Amino acid sequence: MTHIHFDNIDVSYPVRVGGRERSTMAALAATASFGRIAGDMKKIPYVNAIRGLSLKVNSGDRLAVIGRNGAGKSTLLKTVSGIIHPLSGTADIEGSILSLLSLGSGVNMEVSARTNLRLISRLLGIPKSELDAFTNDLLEFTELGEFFDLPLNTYSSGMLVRFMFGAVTYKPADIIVVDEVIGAGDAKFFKKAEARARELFKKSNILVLSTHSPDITYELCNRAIMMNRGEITMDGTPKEVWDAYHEILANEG
Amino acid sequence: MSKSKPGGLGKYFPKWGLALSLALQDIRDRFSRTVLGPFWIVISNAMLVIGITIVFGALFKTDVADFVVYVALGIALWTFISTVMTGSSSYLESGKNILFTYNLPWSMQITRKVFVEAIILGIHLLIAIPIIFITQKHLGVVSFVAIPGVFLNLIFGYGLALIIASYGVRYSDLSHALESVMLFLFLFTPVFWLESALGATRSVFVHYNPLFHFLEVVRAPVLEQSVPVDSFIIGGVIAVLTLGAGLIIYNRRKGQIGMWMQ
Repeated sequence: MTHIHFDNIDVSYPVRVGGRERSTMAALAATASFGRIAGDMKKIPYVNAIRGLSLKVNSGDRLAVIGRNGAGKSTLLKTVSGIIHPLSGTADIEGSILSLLSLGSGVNMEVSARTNLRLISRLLGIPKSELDAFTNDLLEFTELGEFFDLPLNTYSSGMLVRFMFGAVTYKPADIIVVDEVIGAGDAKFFKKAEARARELFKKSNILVLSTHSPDITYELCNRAIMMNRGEITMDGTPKEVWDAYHEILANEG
Repeated sequence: MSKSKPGGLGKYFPKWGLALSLALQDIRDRFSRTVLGPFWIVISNAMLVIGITIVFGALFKTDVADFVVYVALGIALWTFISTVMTGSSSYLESGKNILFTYNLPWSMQITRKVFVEAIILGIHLLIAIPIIFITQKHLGVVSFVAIPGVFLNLIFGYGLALIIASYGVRYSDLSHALESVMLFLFLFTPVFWLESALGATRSVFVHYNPLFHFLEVVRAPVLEQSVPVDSFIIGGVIAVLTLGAGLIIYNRRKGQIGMWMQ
């Protein structure tokens, strides 16, 4: 059964002040001298991006994560994606994951879209027998025309986004994690991307979406959490949470 | 994730097939804008071997035919171990884009990079074959024992890469530290000089150097038509221990790796 269970997790980022706390030499000296020399290097300052967070997301949940910048939304999404692991607490995630946190990764700019798809299909775990279907789907979706067989470094940034977005959203997954709404691309493509994304989200068991837009939340989600300073301050229906959030914003002026 | 839990070998070396095809792609990319392609690896290596043979072959007053094969094999294996040692601390960082986007086990990136070095080692070793024919060195059945010897080197290299890559994200000066250590070891290990040239008392110390045994398991079967049993035992034990330690350390530290790569 697809689920995401976080129990009292803490997620932190080390702060890189100087070179000392990342030095092998300082670590060796500290270990050899039982901390008498350079003992402070083991006390790295951390930023607590998420603290003591517990969250249960079950199959069928479409969760919107709402909060101000720096509330810990992105960190939560990265934790669900498995890019970063909690320092303490337990994280139990079951199901295949697709994360749309950034685009434009793992492509070779010097070869064509068609050639790149061969590599991307392997990264996504698409079987060889499906490669033709994958390629045709992308050819149709991206509307790249003759550019499809030209190297990626001849593309405009909009074309690149179209290509990358199309490629990573081809295959459905149990859990889909989306950070904000992916911009760029012309208006017509954007509608197309939205349609494709919606289609994909419907096929997933769990959707986790961080957003600043009430409309998107109402349309795609059936549950929302509000985050502040790395903690969940509210968990409820999208309407309840957005109303509360707007109230907080209004009170603070 | 539980859906695609692989069994058997794939459990410890997940996605090695993908790692291999990415590694081949890496090699192609590296030479994509050159006419000679991977042949550049052959040229630069041949230059080094020829240079060392001319200078040191004369110094050691040894048979050139034997010495050139000795140096060619030594340099090939040394290049593999030393590039893995000094390069593996940045293996994970270099694959950041792919690891952050696709749902893949991160050790795949380490496997991929070791495959790249293994392919280059293979090319280097292939150079030794025409040299052996040109110098008309006699090969026997025993010479094929060198093949498991090469595999010992690969296992050792993979274990090293797992360990160093796991710590390399955390400690940013690890590669510098290893570079200086490797330079020292390069002179200390009989890669291009003959053990016999040291004299009886000092050559004993050569055998305390584990890296010597990793060279010996490939060189002795080819050059002396003998199976260096002690080197196989020492090298084998070290390789297996390193790999075991690598798997344990990587699995312990993998939870912290992402944090240091933000």
